[in-house]
Amino acid sequence: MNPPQQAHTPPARDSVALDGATRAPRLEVRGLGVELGGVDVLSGVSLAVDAGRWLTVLGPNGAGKSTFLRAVAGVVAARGGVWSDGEELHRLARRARARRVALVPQEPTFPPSMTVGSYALLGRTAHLGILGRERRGDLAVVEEVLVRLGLRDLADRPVAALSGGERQRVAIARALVQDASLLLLDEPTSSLDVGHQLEVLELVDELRRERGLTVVAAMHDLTLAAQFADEVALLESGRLVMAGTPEEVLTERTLSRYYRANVRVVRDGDLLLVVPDRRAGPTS
Amino acid sequence: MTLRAEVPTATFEPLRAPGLARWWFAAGLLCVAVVALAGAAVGPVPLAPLDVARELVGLPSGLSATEATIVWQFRLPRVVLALLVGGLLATAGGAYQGTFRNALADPYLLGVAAGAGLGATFAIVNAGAGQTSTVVTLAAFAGAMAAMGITWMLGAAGDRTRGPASLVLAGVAVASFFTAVQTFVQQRDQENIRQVYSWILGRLSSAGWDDVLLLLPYAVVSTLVLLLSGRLLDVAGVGDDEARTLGIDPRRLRVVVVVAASMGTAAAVATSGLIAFVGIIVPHTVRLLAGSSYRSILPLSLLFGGAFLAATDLLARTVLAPAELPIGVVTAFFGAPFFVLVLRTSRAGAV
Repeated sequence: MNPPQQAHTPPARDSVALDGATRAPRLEVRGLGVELGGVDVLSGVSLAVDAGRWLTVLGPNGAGKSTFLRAVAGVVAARGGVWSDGEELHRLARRARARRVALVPQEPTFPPSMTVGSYALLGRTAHLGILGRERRGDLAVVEEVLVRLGLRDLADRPVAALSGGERQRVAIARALVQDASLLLLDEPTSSLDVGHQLEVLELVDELRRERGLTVVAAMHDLTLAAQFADEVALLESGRLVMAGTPEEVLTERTLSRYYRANVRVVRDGDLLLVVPDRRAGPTS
Repeated sequence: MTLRAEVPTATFEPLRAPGLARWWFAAGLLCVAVVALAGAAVGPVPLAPLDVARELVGLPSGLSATEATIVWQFRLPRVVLALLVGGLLATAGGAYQGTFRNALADPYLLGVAAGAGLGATFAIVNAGAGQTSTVVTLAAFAGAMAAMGITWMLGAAGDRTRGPASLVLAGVAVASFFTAVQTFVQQRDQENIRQVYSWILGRLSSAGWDDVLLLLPYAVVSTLVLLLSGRLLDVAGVGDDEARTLGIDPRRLRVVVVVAASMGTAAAVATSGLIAFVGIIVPHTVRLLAGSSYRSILPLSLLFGGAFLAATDLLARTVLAPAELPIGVVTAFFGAPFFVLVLRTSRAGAV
């Protein structure tokens, strides 16, 4: 039996303030749009996240989650604007931007035989002088980050020789070394088992608190998203269709509609579990 | 009691930025010195290496005036030119490999050398210019850039990632085409054909200090730019998108590196003809020995490339003495098997 179809229009709005307007937002996105090969893969996305908060971007495959992150990071040409602490990121020089935004890609490229230490040190690129020589301070930053992430004893090992969970930490290490206050993560847990998923997300959450980072993560796992996000934004076909707290967005009605799947949202104390349910059959 | 109970606080080697190991740099300099000395001492008039060494550093050497002239005016310019040309070709090869992330990229296989050859032939035939002329070098540079541009466009067509095979296939096609045109140009003009021929085969035999002086400015500019790009090439190894988030412009880097490497190649080709495979043998050997950071690959390629070509030249003029083998023949003799080895060991040509 199919669930009743929703009658109301989606609460798409021009701008969704995700948090109280008391503080100036750390990250503000206005009318962000990306066109690839004549197709709008992202259009009119506006939202704001307060400093030090965690925003998780959700949406079915192809909804534009990665594109959104890449547009914020300035990797793809985009319409609209992105402000961080009042600075318009896309107007900054590439190096200056790299000191404010770091992106951990979904599948980072690890050059063959590059060691963990050398790889993390790449994160200092935007901080170096014209000759590109690392100073003692740059090495100290890497040292501190590697110790913090439990990677110090792997510093001289090639990244390619590490396990999936370790590699994900190495990728995060490079982003932290970049010393940017805005950390973007593209599906940071997609290739990890459940233990490492929790471990990596806990780590990011701890780092967020310690360093006052603003985190924007694209994720697939809705249960994990509910536990780690302060706020959630839901994309579909390149548009922002809903935003709010996990409790507001992760409802059976919303998820069935946009993911085109029957899901149950089960509460267990303060835990919000999103479970696929095959019993109801496919939605139309 | 558990084994874990007494794990001491681990201490590690201090972190270091990847770069040129002093040890390897010293080894490179030593190689250059030894080969230079051998090049200056060996020949139809054999000289004692110790005497030559003393002469070169300005100590009283016991060489006669004639012998000193042989060293300073005949053998040394040839050795220095071989060092420069070898260093340029090897550094350019390493830089191409880094910027295209392609183990098979080399001035010869990308068609750059053939382009430079066509440009130089045009200049020799049309301007009637002698071999040592700025016109020839500039024409070679123009030809090199044209060939590089065509290879790049063809290699990229239909494949945004510029797969290793498609780039090299495009390079081979471009090289054949440019070589065909070059042959046509040279055959049409019977007067200068001998001059063109001896130049094609890569001869250093007529080298004098004026050749060295002609090559030097291009060599210095190309080498400086490439050596300063080492760290950025390491960054570019993570791919264009990620390199952008780290704060560099990969497209601009690629253009700068390709222009600098092509300039070095063109200058080398204009002075000494087509010498194959130096750009692939040397950077790969260096990478295997001293690590895969371009901050060490490029400077070591400069040193070992120079030493390699000077040694090859020594071989070319002694094996069949008093006759000389064209140096390009010797490098191809060693280089072609090495190329096959690289093909077989580097999975799909990834760097």
